[in-house]
Amino acid sequence: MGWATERTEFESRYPRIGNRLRPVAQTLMRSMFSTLRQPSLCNVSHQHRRWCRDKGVRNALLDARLLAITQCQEQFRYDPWNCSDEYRNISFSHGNKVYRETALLYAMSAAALTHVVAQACADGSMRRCRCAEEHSPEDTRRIWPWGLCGDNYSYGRRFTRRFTQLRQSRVDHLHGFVVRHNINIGIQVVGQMKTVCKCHGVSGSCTSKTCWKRLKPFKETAEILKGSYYKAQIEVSSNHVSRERSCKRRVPKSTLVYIHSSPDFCPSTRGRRCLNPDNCGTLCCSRGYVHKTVSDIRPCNCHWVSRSYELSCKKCSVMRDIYICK
Amino acid sequence: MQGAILENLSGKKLAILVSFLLVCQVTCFLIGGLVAPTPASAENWLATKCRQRENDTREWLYPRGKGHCETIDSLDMYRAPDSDHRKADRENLKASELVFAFQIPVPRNNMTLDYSRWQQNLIGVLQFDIMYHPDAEMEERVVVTIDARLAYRNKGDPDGAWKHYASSVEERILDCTMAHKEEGFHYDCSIVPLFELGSLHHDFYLLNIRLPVGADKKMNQGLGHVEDIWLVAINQNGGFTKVWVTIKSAFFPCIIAIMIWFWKRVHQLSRSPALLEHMLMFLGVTLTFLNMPLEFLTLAFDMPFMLLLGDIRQGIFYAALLSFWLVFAGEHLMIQDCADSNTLRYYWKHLSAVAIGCLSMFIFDMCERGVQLQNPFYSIWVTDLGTNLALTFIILAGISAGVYFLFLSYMIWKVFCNISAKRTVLPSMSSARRLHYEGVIYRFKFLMLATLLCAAMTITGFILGQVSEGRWKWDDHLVLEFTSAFFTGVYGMWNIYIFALIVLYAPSHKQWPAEGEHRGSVNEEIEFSRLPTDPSEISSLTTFARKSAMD
Repeated sequence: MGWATERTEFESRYPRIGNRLRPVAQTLMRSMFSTLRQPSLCNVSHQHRRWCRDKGVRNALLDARLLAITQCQEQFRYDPWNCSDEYRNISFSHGNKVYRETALLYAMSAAALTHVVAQACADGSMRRCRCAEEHSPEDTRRIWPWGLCGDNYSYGRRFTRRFTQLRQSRVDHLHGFVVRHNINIGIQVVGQMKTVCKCHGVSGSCTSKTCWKRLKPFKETAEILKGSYYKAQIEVSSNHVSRERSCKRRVPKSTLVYIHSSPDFCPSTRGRRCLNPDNCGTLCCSRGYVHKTVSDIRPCNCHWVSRSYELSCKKCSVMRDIYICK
Repeated sequence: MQGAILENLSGKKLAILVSFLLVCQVTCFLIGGLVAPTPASAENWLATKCRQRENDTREWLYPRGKGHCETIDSLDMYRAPDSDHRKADRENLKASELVFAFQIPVPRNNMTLDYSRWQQNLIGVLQFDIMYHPDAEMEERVVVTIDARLAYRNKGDPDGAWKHYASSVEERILDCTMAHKEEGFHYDCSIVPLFELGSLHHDFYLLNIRLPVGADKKMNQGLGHVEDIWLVAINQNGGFTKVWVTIKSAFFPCIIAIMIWFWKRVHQLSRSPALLEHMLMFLGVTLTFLNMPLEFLTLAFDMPFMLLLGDIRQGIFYAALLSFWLVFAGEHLMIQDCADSNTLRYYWKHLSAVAIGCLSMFIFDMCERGVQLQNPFYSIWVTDLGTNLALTFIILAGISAGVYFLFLSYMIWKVFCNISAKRTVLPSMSSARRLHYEGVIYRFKFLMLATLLCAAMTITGFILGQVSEGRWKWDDHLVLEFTSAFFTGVYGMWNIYIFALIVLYAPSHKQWPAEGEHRGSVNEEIEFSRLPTDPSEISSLTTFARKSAMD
């Protein structure tokens, strides 16, 4: 494969790929594909083990894993890459290489963790959420009534940054920088929230107005990330040592960045479902597709059954087009 | 003949006084901006979905603590329209069994937080996360029926000892839109204001929400798949209350002291107090009522009427200020010497605009916040009748405000006309008298300017606060909370304004030079002899204004 030989020279330039940062950030992704009950992220360091003693944190990690993987697979079900971890002996989450897919996985898992933690802070299931950077519980007691408590997203962001050890990590080489950049994008996308306001001044007028941000459903986040997957940029360093500063200058803040070109997914799409002839053209890689029309029974005209949280629906027969890649 | 201090104060003393007041003003602004946090903060809380097994709806369901409720992670499995997707072993979930529970505040940093009484009030707003499903599409506007029950508990009580605070079945209008309809996405729904608590007397609150479904009354039939409910709890920040009460407590004695000083001075005169002086006292009294730091009482007593009382206090003060401006302009615009020109009766037409405006706002406030004392979930905007009623009163108040400003502008315009007419006569006067009149005109305009400046600054500050972000950051260490700075700044400004007014309009003890010495022309002598100069000792500014009106 072309992409493999192309990169060997690059790798010889960067013998230090893989540093203190990689284990944590990578395990975050790897944990998405793990089936263990205990999140593997909990065993990375002593500090992580301590965090994981909190049931809220363990649940958040498991929820984030489920959320990231289901949303990723749903977003990419009509794409050449269907959000699988492995393809032709390449693991997108395990190896040292950063493909376009790896970049997305970093961003997606960071976004899922941020989202889940923010939500857990909001419903009180995670007790360790803090107002600001304060440490002692007494500080929290002092800060809260005074009115300096941050919102749930802020804690989700801080938690994800700390958990992936973004701060401590050295980013004096390309791999570290790219990983950090992509994780930050994932966190940022969750932070793009809609502002809602309420007036509560004299007689309810708008002389006083309080605004807050509303967490959006994760599906919207996943869709934005999918868009940045398409727009991702390759980062090739011309210098021997690519300092963070030089990278910062070139990479736009909102696009994912990868180092290695992706493999050709065409052989893997045989037998996959595609959405419409347009989509099939790209997904089936000019091999063509099979078009079937099947009748399907779907619920329709639903309404709530009295006193019960149950939908009562009629059954309607609809004709559906199915496309399958040859 | 005696005048007001304003006319007798030397330019230097006036400059010192004005700069002292300006320093106070800047201090107020900076205290609000640098010490206080934002006036209010909003906390977003996600409902825990509890399952109620017993039929007893009076039971309280709480998500945390001993005896917490049985929680439901996701409603998806109960709502899958085809039975294949449902869990095999699940039972039907009845609408009355599903309870959205909020136990606020939620813990932070492993600490169970509680509300502080400094936080003053609590406004609850609901946000619905409604998922789009093509098989159960929602209309754009639906009426939601919410069965809401609020309970409280205090520190030291057992975990389950929730006491009933208020409960009600309320209807609210929910507007939901969706740009591109796709399964799994949420509707963009309007916020649903649920309750307003005028006092935050207890430590913990529990809100239980049910969404009853009934085909007979079409209750909640139009509602889509409610995934989650968020509660946004807006409360005044304790830090802001502390700063606010401090500023109030600082102004409170100052205004009282200056009023006593003023009234003593007025009573030292041989005449009875003039209308303008009565108005100044009235203004001072209403300001004192506003300044009174009643918030301290809320730390000890449960006072749910504080929101209403705050509105009334502000309303009375505004009414007094608006009336004062009218009388102030009118007292320098005597067309003729009516017998009752020095009484309020003369201004009844103008003042009725203020009275009608304030009264309609008061009635509106009683209809909303007054009823909320009985039922915190009440809102006047839900029913068509209530909306129309509320709008009627608000429009009435708006019309009164318009009429008032027409009156006021007309009167001020008249005063300025008179002044400029007088200006043309000035050169023919004796030099001492001319200087004096010029000074009076200057200071009158100065005060007008001050009023306009205060009003303009209030409006500019308000607009700036609306368009800009709440925080102005210079660097990491210096952050100015603009909203708080605006509130304390404006509050301080009107206090200082009224303080200055009382000081400058107090009668002066300085004696004017005997009038005969300065009467240069016969013409002036005749004019002055027609004025009711002696023995009344009204301020020379008024004398001047009356005289100019007669010209």
